[in-house]
Amino acid sequence: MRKWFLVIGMIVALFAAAFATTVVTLGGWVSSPVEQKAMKAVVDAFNQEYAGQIELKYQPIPGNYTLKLTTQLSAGTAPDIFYLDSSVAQQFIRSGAIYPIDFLIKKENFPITEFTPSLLKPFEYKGRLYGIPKDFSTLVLFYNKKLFDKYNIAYPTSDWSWFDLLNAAEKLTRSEDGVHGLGLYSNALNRVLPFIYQNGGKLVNSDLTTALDNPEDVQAIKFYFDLHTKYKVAVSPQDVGAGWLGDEFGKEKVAMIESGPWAYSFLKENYPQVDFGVAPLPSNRNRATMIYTVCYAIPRTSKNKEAAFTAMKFLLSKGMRIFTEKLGVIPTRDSIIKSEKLMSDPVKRIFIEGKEYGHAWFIPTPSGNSSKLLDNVNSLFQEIWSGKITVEEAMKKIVSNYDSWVSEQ
Amino acid sequence: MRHYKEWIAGYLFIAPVVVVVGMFVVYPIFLSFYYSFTNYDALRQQEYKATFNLQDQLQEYFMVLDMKNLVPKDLLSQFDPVDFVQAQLGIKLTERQIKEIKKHFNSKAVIDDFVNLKTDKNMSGAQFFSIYMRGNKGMFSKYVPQWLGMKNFIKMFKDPLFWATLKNSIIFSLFVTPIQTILALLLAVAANQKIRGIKFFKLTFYIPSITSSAAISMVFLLLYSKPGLINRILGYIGMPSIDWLSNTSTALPAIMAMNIWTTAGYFMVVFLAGLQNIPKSLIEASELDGAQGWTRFWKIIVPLMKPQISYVVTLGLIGTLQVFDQIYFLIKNQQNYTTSMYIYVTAFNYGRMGYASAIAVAFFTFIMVLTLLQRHFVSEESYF
Repeated sequence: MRKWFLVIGMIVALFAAAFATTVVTLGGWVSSPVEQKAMKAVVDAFNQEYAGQIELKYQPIPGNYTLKLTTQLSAGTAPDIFYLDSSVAQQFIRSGAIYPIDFLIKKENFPITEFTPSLLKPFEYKGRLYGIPKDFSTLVLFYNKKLFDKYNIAYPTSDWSWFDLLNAAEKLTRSEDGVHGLGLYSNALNRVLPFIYQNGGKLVNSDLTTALDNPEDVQAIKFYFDLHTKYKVAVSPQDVGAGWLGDEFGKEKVAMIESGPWAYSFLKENYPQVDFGVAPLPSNRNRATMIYTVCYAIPRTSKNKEAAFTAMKFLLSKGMRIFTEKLGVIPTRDSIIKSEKLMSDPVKRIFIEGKEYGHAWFIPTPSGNSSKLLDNVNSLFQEIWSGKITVEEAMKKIVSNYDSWVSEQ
Repeated sequence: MRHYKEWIAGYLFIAPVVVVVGMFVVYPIFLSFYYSFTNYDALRQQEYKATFNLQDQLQEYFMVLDMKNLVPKDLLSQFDPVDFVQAQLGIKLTERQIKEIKKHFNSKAVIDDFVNLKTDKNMSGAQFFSIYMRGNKGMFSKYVPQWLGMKNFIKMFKDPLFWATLKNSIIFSLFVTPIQTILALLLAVAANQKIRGIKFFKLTFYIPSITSSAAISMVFLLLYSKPGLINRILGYIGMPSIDWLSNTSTALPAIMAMNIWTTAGYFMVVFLAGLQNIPKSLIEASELDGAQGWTRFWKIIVPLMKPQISYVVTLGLIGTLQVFDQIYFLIKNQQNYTTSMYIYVTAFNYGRMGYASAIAVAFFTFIMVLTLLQRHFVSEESYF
């Protein structure tokens, strides 16, 4: 009899414990096993610290992330905290599905000033903040030291101009060795954009109409595609049968690429024999690069917003430190950059400095959704790349169709 | 009475299928008809259901952290319910709703509750309106997409990309359906021979159609790539290498060839069943009459296979017009999208569910009319 009481008592105690803790779910896309492991370490650390109060549960979302998230948000089953990429954040924010966190930040005295404004910009709308970035990447110039040495060319430096880039690329293009100077994507606005910013251009005007037909923009776009069509010093990964730029660079088909930290770890792991260095992107009128960032956001449908914010604060402090140490990602908080002494790492330093002069990757549109615009522009870029139309013709098409690509309905 | 019982039993037996099909097929189809006349936005589905703490929201709206010494009069003069609902609660309002709020919203009650610390509780948007609206609460109980009438369809007629994708779909169907039908018929005749190891050939013909479309797409991605096998073979005869899938003029034919290869084997089985159904006596009789080879094939076998041909052509037509997965995996350029792919990206990437539904409805009508016409002209009657 006593045994039974004990068992029942334990069950009751268990239930009581389960009901006392608030469960907060965390969703993100499925990533590498290494990242999964790091995430588990973060979640375990949180659950240990908040045992009996809040329980954090990690629920990765497999498959097409944006699509699944849309479904979950519309069904009211989205996780209490989830990843949101800078390039799609605005469409979720403007639809009203994301909970603004300014008040929670103020109430809990969260040091939001530690985050560089350029990193927060994609998650702001009408003066409110809807998410805090967890890490970021910037584009830099990767160069193959062996090829530079072979043809006796000086390595890229931080004060390289477009002219230096073209000059070196011309010298590095050797048909006898099957090597081109530069690897570029044939159809990616986000890789042309740094050139536009470097030339003093911009993506949209203040009234959200396109600025791509401004003279500075046209000149930059022309320069980018001329590298392939006119000077013939640049090739895309498809041109040489590589999967992507990192692959193209690793196979030593090109001597330089414009890429981010993901290419760095990819090359170290898959092409350890390739000796390469990184330098800031060359500049023309301005110094500029592209920033890619992902934030943690809370949906309006969340039932435990305060607990979710507590977990978010943890993810952005101790969690961010664990990620930085285990994965080598670049933290968004200046205090962690400092405490982890990342600026003394000559490679990381270049990536980190990009956030001071870089622009976050997103296209402001009236509806917040920029996918249609992006698909169309990238299609046109592909046609410029293959020489079917000129830059001017493409810009004419962009300007005359822009409204129908970005309008709300 | 007994009949009645049987009736119930029958319906109970089919109930699981009726419920599942009804829920996941019939209901969504009707909904998409409805959405095609609206500007439905899936992300707004929870607008009135999502809960919030009213005090937090008001504190943020008024930018007060301290709940002491609040002056109701000042707050009331600062409070604009329309702005509060739209900017703070994230609920988008129509012109009519704004009018109703201006007429019926009890701002004073909100401020009084706030000052008297009665707002520190969670509520949904619908609850908020039912408490603080004096009338017409029904307008604020759930998200209703705006009725657009025929606007989506008018827009579709003016959308050049829609016409481009429709053209692609039709070209795709016009080339693939006849070729795959003829190929399947020839394969079936070949597979019907009594030679050694025929099972191996049957298997080889059939394997493409049971392999996952994603796996096949990946294989063809390699075949069609610039340094891929096809370009290498073409290189031997001195042709320049082409990036088959990125080039807008070769991408669609490349997918067509692949589609024919994957579906011919499936339809071969249909024809094989038909061939084996032809009575031996008929074949023997034709042989006695002196019909050989091609004559027998065209004059005896093909007419006898009419029901199968009609079935294969109908299925082929529908299947090719709806082709999606291979396009999804392999096509990069918008100019080469088919209509079903365009529907997908419009709904899920461009966030325009209503417009995508309109295209889907139009496309559905198009395929249905085509199928009906085809059935009208090609009879399905059997000769035996």
